[in-house]
Amino acid sequence: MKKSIRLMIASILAIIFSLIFYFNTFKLPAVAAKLPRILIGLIILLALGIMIQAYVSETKIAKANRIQNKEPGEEKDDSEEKFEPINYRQAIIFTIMIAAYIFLLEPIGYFIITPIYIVSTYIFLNATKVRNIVFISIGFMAFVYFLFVVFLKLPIPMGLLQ
Amino acid sequence: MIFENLLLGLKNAMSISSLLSVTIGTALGLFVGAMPGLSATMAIALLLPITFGMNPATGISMLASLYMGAMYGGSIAAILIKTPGTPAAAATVMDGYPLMQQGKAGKALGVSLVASLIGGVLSSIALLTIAPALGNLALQFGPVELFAVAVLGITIIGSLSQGSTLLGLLSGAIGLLLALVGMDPITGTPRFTFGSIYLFSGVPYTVALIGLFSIPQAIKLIQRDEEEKKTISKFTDRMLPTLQELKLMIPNTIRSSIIGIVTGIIPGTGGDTACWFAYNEAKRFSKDKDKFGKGSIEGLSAAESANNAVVGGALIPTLTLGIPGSSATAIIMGGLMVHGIMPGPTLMTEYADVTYTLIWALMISNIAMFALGLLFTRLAINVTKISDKVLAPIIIVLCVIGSFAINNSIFDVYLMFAFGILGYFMNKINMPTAPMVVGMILGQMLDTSLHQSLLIGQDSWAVFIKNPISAALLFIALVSILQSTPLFSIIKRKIKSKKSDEALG
Repeated sequence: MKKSIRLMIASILAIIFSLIFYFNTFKLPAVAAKLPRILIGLIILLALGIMIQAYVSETKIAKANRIQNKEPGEEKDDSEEKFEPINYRQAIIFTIMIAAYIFLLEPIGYFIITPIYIVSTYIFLNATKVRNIVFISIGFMAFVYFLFVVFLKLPIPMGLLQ
Repeated sequence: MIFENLLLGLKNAMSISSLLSVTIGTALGLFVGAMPGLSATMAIALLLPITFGMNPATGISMLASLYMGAMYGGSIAAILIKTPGTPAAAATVMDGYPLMQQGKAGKALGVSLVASLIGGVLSSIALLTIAPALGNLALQFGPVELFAVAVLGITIIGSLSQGSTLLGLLSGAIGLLLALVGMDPITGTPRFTFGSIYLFSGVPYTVALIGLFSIPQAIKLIQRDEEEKKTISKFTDRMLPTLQELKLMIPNTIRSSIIGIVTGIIPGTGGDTACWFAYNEAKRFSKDKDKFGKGSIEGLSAAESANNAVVGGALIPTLTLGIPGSSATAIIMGGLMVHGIMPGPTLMTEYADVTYTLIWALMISNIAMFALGLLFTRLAINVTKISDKVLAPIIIVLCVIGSFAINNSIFDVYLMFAFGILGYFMNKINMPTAPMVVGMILGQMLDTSLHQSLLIGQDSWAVFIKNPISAALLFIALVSILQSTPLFSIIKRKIKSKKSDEALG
């Protein structure tokens, strides 16, 4: 996706976000609504500014391409993907695995779900040898247990172990 | 009073627990910095929840020491594998890697360590002298001035952050709006909670910053097919520079340290800016310009002293005015607030024990960094070989446990993940995340000071113009925005062309 289109989408989302907040300010006393309304106005102005900036730079690129007799779809994009190819499949599955880990954390418990998450992610990413996976998982869990539970006495969701 | 506080801070910083936390923090920083792909900011964000159970001074000192240690650690990967361990070590690659290719890896690491020590010590001295003086001045500030300080902080961070100014300012404005979620401090009304009881106490900025700085980093580590990291297994040459090399380094290192301190003080600019600035200046002043880029000791020491000097510099506005000088200090500031300490003018008086301990701890962390650097740099070489794919899930696990531990709430973990995804897409459009975090931290102060100022000014906004300090600060804020807009460059071009027309007759 072209950078200018990404910026346009981001600006529209920022405007929607601020409008949701704006309609919510009607429920507030005038004093509590003052600063939020100023900020909402500012966000909308900045988002519109970004849209204009993206449009202007897009027009400039198109003009430069026309001068060089290029097809409109061929224009160069300065986004990072052109230089370093991104493995989107890997990134999306990795993110879904994080989401699954987080949502199962409370019902199953940190000390059961975490080793499952680490091992399955390492296998999916083909990160290292099986021996290392076992070693890292056990070592890391022991480290977390001693640091957070024994030493710092911080609360950890125990889930099934409770 | 200042002298007594300085002594109290020194006494606290020399306690066993403080010395231990400084050593652990510096060692962690050294190793984290040496791992390419892990930034100091992310490491501080992950370490933050661990410091909750500690005494505030000890915990915050640990975070600051990690920041200092990571600045040197970043140079290890930069020198050995041509990949900066942290963005602040980008300029180190220029001369560090050629030195390694010439078989002088030990020398390059030693020069980097000595330069980091000098930069760190000078910036700690700057912090020790400037912060109390500025803190005294800031004590005169009332709500009107505080409002202007908050506005200045957010506009400078927004306009000086990398990428487009509009995106930086938008990020800051969204952060400010998110800070207003929760119970309104003046009327007691729930604001933007959307019926959720979890949002009554607001959006926790610590949770937000863990997500914003760590999740995108973890995804970034795995989204590219990794190349094998080629590095040496050991080096045999001497680390410490000779007396002659030291003589060559000193003036250049002092100049670069001053550049680093000043860059650190300016909010929004950090080690990544300072290292290039100092490197270019070193080249300009050098008699041996041709050597730059081919293994110049001057170039290497300039970059390394500047990025360590940023640490003390960045803490000056953080501690005295409550405006973080960099994203790492924004997290340190967040850490102070978790302990119930409001950064700003009162930090130098009401919480003098914590602040002065932190200042001395930073000074001690330089010594720890030097000693640990000499002892463990050879060991840290192995860290540079760790695969990104091994690191990414570990970062996630630490993010999860850290965000849960803050309020013992699973909702915070969901929130952290949501901020992480937001941060990933923000990175995609080059929208800086630091202004958002700073906005979330400064939002409450902005709201309260605006309300109090308008009460003083009987609902008139002119109160901000009538007050000379506030007027000056707001004027600087306006200039900082305007200087980065196309309007400013058009005006500058017009003035230039007018001048050249006049010159031509």
